[in-house]
Parts: sequence; C-alpha cells; structure tokens
Amino acid sequence: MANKPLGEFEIVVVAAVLHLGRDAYGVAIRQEIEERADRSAAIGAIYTTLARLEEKGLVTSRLGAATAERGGRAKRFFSITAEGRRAFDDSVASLGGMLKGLRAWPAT
Amino acid sequence: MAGNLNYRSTQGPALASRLVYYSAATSMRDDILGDLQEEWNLRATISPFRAKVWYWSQVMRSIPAFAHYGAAKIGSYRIGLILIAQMISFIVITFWDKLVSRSVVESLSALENAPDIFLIRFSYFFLFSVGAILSALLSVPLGFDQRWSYRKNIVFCLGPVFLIIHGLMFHNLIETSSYGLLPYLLFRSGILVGVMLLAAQFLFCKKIFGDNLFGRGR
Repeated sequence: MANKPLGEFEIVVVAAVLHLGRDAYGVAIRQEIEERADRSAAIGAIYTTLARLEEKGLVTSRLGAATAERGGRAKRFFSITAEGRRAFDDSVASLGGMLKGLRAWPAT
Repeated sequence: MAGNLNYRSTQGPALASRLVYYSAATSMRDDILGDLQEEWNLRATISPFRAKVWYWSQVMRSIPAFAHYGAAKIGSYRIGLILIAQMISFIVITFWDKLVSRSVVESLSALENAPDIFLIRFSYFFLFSVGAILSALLSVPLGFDQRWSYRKNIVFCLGPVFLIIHGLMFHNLIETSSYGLLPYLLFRSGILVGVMLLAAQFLFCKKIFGDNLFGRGR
C-alpha cells in the first residue's frame, strides 16, 4: 500500500463522491452521507476532508456555473482520481480484513 | 465571480454566515456558504425557525473542523511566536493590574472614611475591565491593519488571551476570600467577556496570518 490508509470519515466521504459520480458537490455529498450512513455530517468537516484529499492528489474538483439559489455562488464538483480510487480500495480491504469474522456475532 | 462575493450576500443567518466567512479557508468559504444557502432556502420554505437552527448547528459543528484543518497548516515556529506574544501581553496586563487597579483599591481602603467593601471590589472589577477594553481596543485596529509590521501585530493582538489567564488568577483570589455574591457574578460576566474576546482573537489572527491560521488555499 503506497499511501497511508484513509481515515474512517475519509472513506465515508470518498464513498459518497463515488456514489454520486458527476453530481458530487457539497450539498449532495452531505445528503448522501446522511441517507446511506445514517449520520449527520457538518458541511465544514466534508470540505476540510475533501481539501486534505485534494492536497494528497486523491480528489480533484472543478467549478460549475453560479446559480441564484446559491446567492450567485458556483457549485464545486468533486471527483476521485485513479490514485484516490486505489487508496479507497486498499483502505476498505484493510478495514474488511479487520471486520472479517466479526459479522457472525449474533444481532441483538 | 464567486470570489467577489462576501457573507452579506447570504440570506441565511447573517452572524452564522459571518463566522463561516472568517473561519473557513478562503478557498472553500464561498463553496460552503453557497451550499449552506442552497439547503437553507429549501428548509426555510418548510420552517424558517428549524432552518435557522439547522444553519447554526452546521456552522457551529464546522468551526472545529476549520480550526483543525488550519492548525495542521501552522508551523511550530509560528506557534512559538504566538506563545511569546502571549507572554508579553500577560506581563503588560499584570502590570496594569498591579500599578493601576490594585493601587487604586488599596488607596480607597486606606481612607479614613473608606467606602463600602462592595464599592471597593466593584472599583477593582471596573478598573480591571478598563484594562481589558484597552487591550481589546489595541487588538482590533492592529488585527485589521495589514500595514503594521508582522512582529507588532503578533505582540499586541493576543492581549485578551492573557486577560482570561489573568481573570482565572483573580478567580482564585475571589474564591478564597469572603466576597459577596454580586461582585462574584460580575466577575463571572467578565470571564464570559474574556471568552468572547478570545473568540474574537482568532478572527483577528486570521486577518493577520491570512489563510495560514485557519488553512490556506487549495
């Protein structure tokens, strides 16, 4: 594994971006996390996580068109780079290895 | 285009937007404010009150993330400078207390017809507060004036942080003495003001250090 494994929240954010594909921007990512992971994420935490991932070259971003509903501000769309995908797969595999065998625990 | 906008163009709670504007890295603040406004618009049509609560909760939960992101960007050299600046400010405030506040109170106590003990203690608190306000007044223009030298900004802008430390010392004094309830409550209010000043300090420092305090651009 070339890169340091992703943290838990980083995995969640990258997974949300992968699920959303080309429509991955702040609001959609936040809602995706809320729906799929059943957890409320702060928008600031999402952006700072994405900024860190972008600095590592795991994520790229592009600006869309500005819209009135956003007060004239543009949406920033995120996508995962090939390196980011590899880091994500490695981290999930590593996490999966740790969880293997634990799923047999009886549900409450 | 987005870079020319500021927090005033947001329709969400103005103060919350302002907090984001000043605490988020420049590179991400317009994106975040845009996202917040987009979602706020949808929520406000259902319940304006709940939309406001949601907006504030998003902002308050985001600020630690901004601070954490920014802290990783500050080098240990700058943190060292800040600590030195804090020590200098502490010394200044301590001298203010020793030479002004306490000496006035001691003079009052020594009078033949000394005023009521409450009045004496209130005088102390008042003078202490004047020192705090003076320190804050020093901080505000220096914090916002980019033309001042880097060193001067650092030395003066963190004074209120030391007021809080100083206040804690006074707190210890007041706890071990037979002070009345009202001066004690007044003192607690002073601590609250100090905490607010501390929060303001972070904003001033952001102005001084630019994006290096709460994160630089991507």
